[in-house]
Amino acid sequence: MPFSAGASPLLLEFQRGFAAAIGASAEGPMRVYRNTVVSGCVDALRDNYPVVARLLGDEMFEAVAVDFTTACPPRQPILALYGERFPDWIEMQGWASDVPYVPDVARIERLQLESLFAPDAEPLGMTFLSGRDDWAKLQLPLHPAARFAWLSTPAMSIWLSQLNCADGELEFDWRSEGVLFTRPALEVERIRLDASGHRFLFGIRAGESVGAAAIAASSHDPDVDIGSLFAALVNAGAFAARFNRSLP
Amino acid sequence: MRPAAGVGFKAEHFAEALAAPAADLWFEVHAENYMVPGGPRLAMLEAIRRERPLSLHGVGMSLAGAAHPDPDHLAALRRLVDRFEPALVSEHLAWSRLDGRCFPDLLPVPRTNEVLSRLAANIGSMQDALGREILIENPTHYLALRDHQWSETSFLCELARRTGCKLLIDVNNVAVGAHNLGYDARAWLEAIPEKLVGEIHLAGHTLDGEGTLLIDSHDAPVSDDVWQLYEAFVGRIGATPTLIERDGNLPPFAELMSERHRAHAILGGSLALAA
Repeated sequence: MPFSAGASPLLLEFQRGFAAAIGASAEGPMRVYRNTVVSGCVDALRDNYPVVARLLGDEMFEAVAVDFTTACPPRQPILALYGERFPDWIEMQGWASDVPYVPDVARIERLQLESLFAPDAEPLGMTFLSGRDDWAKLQLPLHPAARFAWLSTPAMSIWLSQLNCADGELEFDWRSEGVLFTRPALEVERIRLDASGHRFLFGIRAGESVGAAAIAASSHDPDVDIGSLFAALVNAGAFAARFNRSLP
Repeated sequence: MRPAAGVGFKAEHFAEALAAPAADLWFEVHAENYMVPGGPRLAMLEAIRRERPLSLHGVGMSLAGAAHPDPDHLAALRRLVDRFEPALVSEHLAWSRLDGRCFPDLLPVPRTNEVLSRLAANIGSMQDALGREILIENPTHYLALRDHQWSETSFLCELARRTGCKLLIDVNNVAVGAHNLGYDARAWLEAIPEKLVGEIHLAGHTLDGEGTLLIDSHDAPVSDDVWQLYEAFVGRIGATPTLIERDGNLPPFAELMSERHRAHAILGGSLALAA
């Protein structure tokens, strides 16, 4: 190290004082810094949770986002993935009981965001599977951009309606729904999962063989066409090619 | 990179940026926006990079913080530098990280001997990690800090002397700081030696709600006073890569390019003078 790399105690003290002044309700020049810090966090959260912002409305979202960024400020200078804890944090707020689907809508937006920025990888092709009969032994890696969840609210239906810019009252059957995001190339694809589809992917993620996951999925719905379900998941890019060729 | 004019790249302008015919055009991006594992954002930047020189402008290394640069952040920047082979890599004379928290802003420091040593050490660490020289940008000022032991221009020159880094002179930051703190922008620029300047930034500013402070808002065209300062600066130091920065109120690509052409013409004039 060519230069002194020891502690800088006065600088540290200055930084802590400055950070405290930003946190206080500041006037004059300090307000400029405070505004930049707060709006940087709020804008990042709005970019990452646009449907939550739409459901809450501008004014409420702004207030909620300021509260969140105070409770959970960024810990990295990369804001593209800021707000990982936002869905769970929303759920703990008193006002969330008036909009009980919003935490799950936030979870959906988070899964989509993670899929968007996940590592690139070659998806598993159907040719790899043709003619196989070793289903009881075959384990498949999930594609790195595959994200799925089972949610106890109709958040997927609500989220989809908001993407289509539906206005007015939200009227949905109150039921659980599953969601899968994949990104086999550059575009994120969204797929509704039923309970058997979710159980199948859950098993694959836990390391079950395709055969074991299929049997478990059938127990959720004896009428499920496992072959079609599996083909749909493969075609959606839910699995990574065996010999993963990650892009550099 | 030839001493030409470039523009800040925005995803909204992807198709036009890729197709732009302008000779010697280059693009700059905030490095942090591309520190993601994969996906379309990186693919878009690769497409741009195949056509044009690129500059990576960091906003999150917190070089003026009391701590060493974050090793993970250094490694992420190194990966971007290796992948995109930028013509220029720059960072700010600012801090944005403290006690595990990050502030999406460029916060100021008093120009003391202690800060000078810390900054020099941190710039050294960053240059070592990247295996190349970086540029350091002069900050915007809103607040007159006490305890300065150095003038800003001599502080910047001393940093360059100690570390071998070059300077990225943001002319708008100089104009904004001169207005807010009451110094002479022209004299400030005249104190910067030509051989230290590796890049110039031009951007717009706005007056704050109370009508007293200029804000380095990057949401308006470059102002007339900044153009005048720029022309005089380039007239003295010679043609230097110059970037039109725009982050808010994003105009059509053609509008940014007309500002870029204006800068390019000024650079061309200075090249002709030098010839």
